[in-house]
Amino acid sequence: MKDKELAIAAIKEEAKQKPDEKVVVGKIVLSYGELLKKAEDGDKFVEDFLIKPYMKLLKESKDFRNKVMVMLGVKE
Amino acid sequence: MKARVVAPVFDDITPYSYDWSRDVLGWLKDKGYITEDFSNDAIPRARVENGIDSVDLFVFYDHGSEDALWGSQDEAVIDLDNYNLLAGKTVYTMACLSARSLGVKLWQLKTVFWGYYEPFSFTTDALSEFKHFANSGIWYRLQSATWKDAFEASKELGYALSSKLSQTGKFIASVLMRQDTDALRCYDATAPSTSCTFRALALKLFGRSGWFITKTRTLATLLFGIGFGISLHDFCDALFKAGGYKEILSPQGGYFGFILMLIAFLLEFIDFLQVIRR
Repeated sequence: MKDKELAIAAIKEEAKQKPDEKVVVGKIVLSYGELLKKAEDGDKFVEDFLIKPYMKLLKESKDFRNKVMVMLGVKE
Repeated sequence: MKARVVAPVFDDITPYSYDWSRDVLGWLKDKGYITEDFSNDAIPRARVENGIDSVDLFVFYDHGSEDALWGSQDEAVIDLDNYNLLAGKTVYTMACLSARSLGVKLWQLKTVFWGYYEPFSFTTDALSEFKHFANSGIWYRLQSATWKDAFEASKELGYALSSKLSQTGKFIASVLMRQDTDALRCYDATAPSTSCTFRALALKLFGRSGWFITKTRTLATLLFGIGFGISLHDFCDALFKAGGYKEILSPQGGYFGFILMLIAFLLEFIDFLQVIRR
């Protein structure tokens, strides 16, 4: 699984679990439910503020990566 | 010491930053600061500007942009037209993006600036962790840490909180906490970074004053140096043709002209350095 696919799958999974929680980025507020939809639509804003940093952290932190894999129930 | 805490409320997000600022206000009072609290509503620019001279610490918890801190949807309380009011003070803010331009301008005026280079982001499933991080710098500082130590401690805290959030399954919060930590800047602990090689060189040579050296001044200095060199070379060449090295080494009126030009250049340069170091 590529890092981008892994990041999107993980964001979708967490958003499904907590649809009413919100994410705030500057002046923009999105519920996790809205975030899920935007992630599925390939929204550029979500890509920039969340998916790219998510991929960066997956690359930099093995611990983070392992925990995400456990949440998704996948093995590399 | 006097602190002014500005925490406007005017949309769905600002109640969070207002709430976080209450802890800071309490800590400042506990530490004996005379505090002014401008909060819980849209705050007009004129109110923030009034009496700001007597303030030592300016705390701002609300929206920001590259060159402004916003008191309402359509009015900045601090921007590039009035930022000089904060010269020499300390500015502590969680405002988005303000470290990009406003923070650099303030640092040039010997203001300590604490803020963010990217949008500040957070999630509602980890509000206490984000509040902890946003408030940490002023907390460490009030515990007598230097700004440099406070900055390093806050960075360490941010990375630790990011790790903690991932351990509890809050992965989105963990990523955003990491982003916020990376975006944190303290212009006192460190100088603003620059991608320009010449600016970096100027900062290395002249410190904070290096930000005031413009492209025009650099070009003017370079052209003066080249022109001075060409003139001196041609003058000496003419003397050599007239009488060889003996003629060059003998007192010449032209040398006084060159010396006067050089003195004038150095005096102007020293004056420039004194002005920008004020």
